[in-house]
Amino acid sequence: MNTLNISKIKQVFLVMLLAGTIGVIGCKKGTFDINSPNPNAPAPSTVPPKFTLSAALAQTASLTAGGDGDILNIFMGYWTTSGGYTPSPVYAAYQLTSGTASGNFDDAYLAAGNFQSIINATKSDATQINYKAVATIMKSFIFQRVVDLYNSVPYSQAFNSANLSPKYDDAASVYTDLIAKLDTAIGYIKNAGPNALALDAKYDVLFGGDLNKWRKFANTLKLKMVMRLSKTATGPALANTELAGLTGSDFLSVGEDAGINPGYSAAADNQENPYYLDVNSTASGSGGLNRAYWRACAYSVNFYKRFSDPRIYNLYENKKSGVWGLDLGTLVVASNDSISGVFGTAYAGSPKQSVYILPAFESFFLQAEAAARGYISGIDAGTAYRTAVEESFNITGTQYPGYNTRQSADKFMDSVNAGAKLVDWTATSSADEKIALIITQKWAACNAVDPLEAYGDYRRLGIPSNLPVSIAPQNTQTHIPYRLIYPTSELSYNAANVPSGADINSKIFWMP
Amino acid sequence: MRKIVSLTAMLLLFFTMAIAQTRNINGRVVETNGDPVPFATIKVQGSKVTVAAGPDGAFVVKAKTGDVLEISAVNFTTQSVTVGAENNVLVKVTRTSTSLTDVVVTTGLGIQRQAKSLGYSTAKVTGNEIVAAKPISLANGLTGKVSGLEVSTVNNGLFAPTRITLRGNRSLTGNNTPLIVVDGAIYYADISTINPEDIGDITTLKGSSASAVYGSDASNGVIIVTTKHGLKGSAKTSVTVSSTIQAESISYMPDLQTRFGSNGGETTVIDFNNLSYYIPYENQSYGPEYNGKTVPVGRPLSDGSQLFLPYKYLPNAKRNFFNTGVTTQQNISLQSSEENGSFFLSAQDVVSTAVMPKDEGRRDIFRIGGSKRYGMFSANYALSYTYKRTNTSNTGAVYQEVIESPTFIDLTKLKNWQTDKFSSQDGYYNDYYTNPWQTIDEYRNINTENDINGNLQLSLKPFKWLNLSYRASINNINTKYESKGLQIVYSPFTLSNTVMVYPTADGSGTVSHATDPYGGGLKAIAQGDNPHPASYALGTGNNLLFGNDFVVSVNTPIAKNFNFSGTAGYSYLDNQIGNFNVGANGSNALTFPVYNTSVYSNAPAVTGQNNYEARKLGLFGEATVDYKSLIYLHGSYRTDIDSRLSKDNRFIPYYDIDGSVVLSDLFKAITDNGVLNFAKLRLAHSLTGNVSPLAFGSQYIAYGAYATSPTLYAPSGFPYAASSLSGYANNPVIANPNIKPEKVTEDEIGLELGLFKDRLSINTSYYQSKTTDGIVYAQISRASGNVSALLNAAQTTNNGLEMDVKAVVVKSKDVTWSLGVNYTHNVSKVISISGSVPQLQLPGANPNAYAIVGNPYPVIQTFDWVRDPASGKVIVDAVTGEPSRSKKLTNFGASNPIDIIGVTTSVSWKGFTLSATADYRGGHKIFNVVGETLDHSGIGSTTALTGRQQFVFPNSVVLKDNKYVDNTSTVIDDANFNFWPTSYNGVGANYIVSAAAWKLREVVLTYNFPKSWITFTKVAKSAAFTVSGRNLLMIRPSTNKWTDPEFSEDAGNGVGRTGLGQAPPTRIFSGTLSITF
Repeated sequence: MNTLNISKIKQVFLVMLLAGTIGVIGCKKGTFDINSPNPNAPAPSTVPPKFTLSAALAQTASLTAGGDGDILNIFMGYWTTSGGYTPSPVYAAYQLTSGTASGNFDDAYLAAGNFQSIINATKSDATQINYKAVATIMKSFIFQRVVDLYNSVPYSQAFNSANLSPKYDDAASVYTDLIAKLDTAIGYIKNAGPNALALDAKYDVLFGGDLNKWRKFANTLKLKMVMRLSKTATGPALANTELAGLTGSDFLSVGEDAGINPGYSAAADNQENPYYLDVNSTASGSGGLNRAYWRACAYSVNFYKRFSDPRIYNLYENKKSGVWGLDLGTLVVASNDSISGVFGTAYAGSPKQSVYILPAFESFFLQAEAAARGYISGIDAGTAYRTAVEESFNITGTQYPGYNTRQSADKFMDSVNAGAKLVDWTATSSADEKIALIITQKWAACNAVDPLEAYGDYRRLGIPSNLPVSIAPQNTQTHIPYRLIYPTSELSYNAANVPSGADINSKIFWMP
Repeated sequence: MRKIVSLTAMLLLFFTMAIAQTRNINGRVVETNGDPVPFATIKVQGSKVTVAAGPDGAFVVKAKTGDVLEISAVNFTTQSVTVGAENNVLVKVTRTSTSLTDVVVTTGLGIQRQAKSLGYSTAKVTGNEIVAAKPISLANGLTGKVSGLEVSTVNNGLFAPTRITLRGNRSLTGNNTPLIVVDGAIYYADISTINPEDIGDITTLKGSSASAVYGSDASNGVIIVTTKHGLKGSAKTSVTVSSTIQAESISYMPDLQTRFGSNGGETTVIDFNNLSYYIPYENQSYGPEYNGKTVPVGRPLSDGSQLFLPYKYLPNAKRNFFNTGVTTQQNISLQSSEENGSFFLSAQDVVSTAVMPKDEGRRDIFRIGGSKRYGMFSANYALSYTYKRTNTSNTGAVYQEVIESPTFIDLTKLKNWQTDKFSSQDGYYNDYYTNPWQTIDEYRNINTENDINGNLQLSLKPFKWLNLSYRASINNINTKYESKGLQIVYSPFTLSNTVMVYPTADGSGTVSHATDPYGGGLKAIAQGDNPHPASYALGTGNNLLFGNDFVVSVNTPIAKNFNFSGTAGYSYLDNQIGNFNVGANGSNALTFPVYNTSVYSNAPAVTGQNNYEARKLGLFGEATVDYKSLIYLHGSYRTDIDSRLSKDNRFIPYYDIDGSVVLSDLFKAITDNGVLNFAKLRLAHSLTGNVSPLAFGSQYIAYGAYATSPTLYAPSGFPYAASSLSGYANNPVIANPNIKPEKVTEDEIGLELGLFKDRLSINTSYYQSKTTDGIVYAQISRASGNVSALLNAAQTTNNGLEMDVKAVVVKSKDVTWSLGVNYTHNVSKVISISGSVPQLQLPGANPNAYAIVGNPYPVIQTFDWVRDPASGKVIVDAVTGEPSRSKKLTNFGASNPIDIIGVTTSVSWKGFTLSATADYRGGHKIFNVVGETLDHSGIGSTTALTGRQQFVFPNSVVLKDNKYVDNTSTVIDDANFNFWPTSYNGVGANYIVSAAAWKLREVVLTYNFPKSWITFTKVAKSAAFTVSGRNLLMIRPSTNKWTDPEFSEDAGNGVGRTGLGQAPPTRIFSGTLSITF
């Protein structure tokens, strides 16, 4: 073999040593700082708040219109389970567990957490004050819902990644803070400085950037919460204080339904209106997730029929022989061919439809009740009631031939049901009759679109008074459950803090 | 850094001094067959100069012409060589005995050490042992041969994937498979991309002591593959050509019932013990008993024609659907050597068809490897290219369509769905399923993989005691998958056809009804899914691993009787992964087969686009001190700088300390009786780490790149197509910047014995390991605004015993019979998961796999019958006689084997060698989901156990006077359609059985043609003919009526469940002719 000369060996050796040492030294500062940011997903600090707003609003819509709200339609006598299935212990015997409709808790916190992120991110930035305002309003919206279903919940220590087991706050104190936060948010909008950025209309999928509507939404929400407190000791006084100075133009008005629509379509299941996906159809055209399971409840079918209420056809499937319902918990076996589904034309008619989180009719029903109770001045209860029913007919697209929706409502009240104390304002005399009328018609209007509002009224006032409990033989409850059970996630991962002893007969703090 | 720089300066100084010295003789000690003899002692006679050869037999000694070198090595005769004028000597020594315990083992970082010096457990398997039965994947060649090593073939598809574990699972959510190292470099491609024929040998470093030097990815042991690098010794060249043909066929079908045909509950039961009417379009077999008469099958077609078939059981109706898979394997390799180098070249072509019709694949592997020495320099290199392509159908869908077909229908007769009207989509008899032949033709998955692996090592050995080496390696894995499903549009006639033709009650003729009188309707599949949308997905991925390392090794006596060897260096890895996926589904579906986004309006949308990169630098050192080659003390230390971890967690120390005592040399007296000739005791303790849970269990470090930094994600629905609206929400998983690697501490004690001059050897180890700071994605209160958080919370332990016994039972002039038995016992236990969380459902394909505190890991959980807690018997309803399903999940126990026994044997007689490998696995459970499907369709043998007649549920109790009493008389009122598919098959407990099995893995008979037959050709040197069989026999408990308990839906940690995705097990026969020139 030919030998290498020494100087060459030295050179090669040096090169090798260099290669070796460079390998180490070449790992200069920063070589290992390559894993942040993540190139596949944005870091929170880089995303403008409008992107979080659109996502959180869409999550809110899924929360209120997704399948976990179905149980409230059962409670309120709108829906029942199919006669083709074995009676469900959860729905027919009120055997609610920690797994029942747990999205009302779990998903609410995930959505509210995103509004909290907007609040945190825009904390001291005057240019983002409007985003902070709407996020604050939406957080109040979600927490009101959570408290109405679960009473005491984590609030003051929620959304803190350093505290994975947040304590529970007293429900009344949460309500108090939510109302105060709504005032704060309205203040943000009012006092936004000249540098404050407008909401990006595209990403505000609730009001298209209209801050005046946001203000009205906040006031209407406040009105709703104040009315929830009407049966508490301090409720009436609080109402007078909180509602002082507010007039009709401060609340959601005619046609101002608060509806979320991020761009629903039938492009894919998860792009459909979640309610449509649940009770009507999937994107490929097959039956919605629970289409075959939910059926019209005989109680409400009979109610609408009793008043010849044309909204019935927009809420329920019209069979050849008309709309038919079943009693909740009945043992009668009835196939879906004979019992109406809950996919009318109103809210489940199109995959593209908005999810209404606070329809205008609620605003007017609330104003009517507040006026009737003397909580607010300058609003005529009868007029507000009339507008409320008109708005209900409008949002369901209910029409008599030759009449538009609002005219149809007038006809329904003035001529079809003239003199009926549960429809015709002029037929009522006592304050109790007026409240019964308002709340009963509100119940009739809330079908499917906002069963939680009806559930709130029912637990507060007991109206409709003849709302039936399940007739299933296994049912031992004498009344509709007062609340939902804390979810499995809390019992498993925050067990130390969950209030003990809460069952379906434990009252929400505002219940009489 | 500074230390390393000054170290290199010092080395440079030594080197310069050495050059100034006088003449060096370079030599190598080899066996007569050319294999190197490591660690021989070379003494210059008449002087004090003594040197030791290295592991490759090489030595350098200072001597002058005329000096006599005395070469001695354990187990070899001492040899003397006189130094001549040359500077290179090759010393051939003759073996005195074959010592099983005095072998050389490749340990971590590619360092070769004498087996007796090791304080931890290793096992070596030669290339020849691996390829004996011509496995396509080398993992199959390792099965059953080493204790502590579990190789599971998770299904029998084309180029069947395997899962390898050493000493069980340590990490709950991380990767538990060993690191694979090929020729010293970490190998990221799948083990099946290595040509088994290229293997020189494989060493498994079973415990983490052995692998600690690999740092944070080392806790699962290491499989070290050393490829062939050409022949050793003097100049020669040989070329080997071999050709193998294999036939694979179904070995075991699930147990099927043989008595009943079609009905799916269409009729109202009139009398429970009278069976239902025959329904011609059913996928379920809850109908009347076979009577051999001709019955209408399916519905009448648009032309009025009707298929008629005899109503009788066809014994192999389902087995015959499957093919005999044929695989051909062509190998060519060239090995050559010269004085200072070697060269290796190989190519392999595998073309395979599977038992699943139309499934086919090809794998080609090319490799070039070699070494070259230039004085004190040497280079080792290898470059390989692997091409792999498979074209498969959707096994799960096809198997379901086959299995849910009544046993009187011969599917092979319905193959021509494009031309035969009774096989077409509209005319196929089954109302609920597509013709499997159509599924096979119209749904294809095409996977292509192109891998390039390169490895270059440069070494410099300036002194006999010093070696420096630098290695650069690259793995580039390029994958592409494409899955295509065509649209199916049913004809308007099919959509409205309600006509039914039934046999008359006495079977003498048929009756036609315009509409189904039994409640059935239109062709269900057409109604539910018309048009059945097309689907399309295409994905490409690239996974690049770049590695380089630099190692300085020192081997020197440090004092009288004490020897020191040590290494220090660094190892750098950079892993980059990128993938891009498109797809079209649902309303985006393609209406005709065009897969080009640039020319078709309804184009597939981008469904995934991700890039990952992570880097890791390990700084390590290890040292061994030995006293007179009797007592060895070894330690290693490593720290990793890992880009995936935050700066505070970047210097995590890992270490190992181990030692061994060669008792037989230390206390010579114990060998006096002539029974024991070798005894060694070893002890080891180590701390290693695992960061792979960040990568959701993947071994690729890049996948764990971004777990510590918070991100937003696009929630369900976003971006909305109709409005082009984007949205980002908080990631439901809280990123944890403070996450640390899991820590695995392991203690090991071992004893190695050689008896009867190594005719019998025993190597046994006991170990216990404990994982703390286990990384889990722990569920948290949703009130945090998140769903889970990444935490260092879990704790697990593993305890195990390993034993390898090898014996040469017979050794005579003509016959050699050797026998090996290995035994593995491993018990894992979950100590805690996170706080008080009692259980964790494992991510992956098996929803029944759980980690439960206080239990082995993983365990299977599913529903059981409601049982009487006192007696454990099943409670049945006092009226209907039916049991009911419990509401809570029941834990049925471990799904990983607790005990594994491997048996290998080999008998040689003249030119014949017969060898076999068998193994047993036991102590674990398997959940056969395929059984649920079988009983749903009424095909499973269970459903006919009582002849579909009323029966008393075995071992049941019934409530009488508020007490549970044994049920002897309350029968299940309908033991037909209203029990098996509606009640029984919903209880998972009915399908969980012992997964124990003995398997005859390999039987190989080789005949080496006598030299005299070969040499006359003047060309060939040797030739051999081999016939072999794999998976010939499986012995299962009779309760396992379904499939191979080794199969698993999940190829990750969540083993223990098999389903329709795993076609029935197979048996493989092969024949090989091999000629060496």
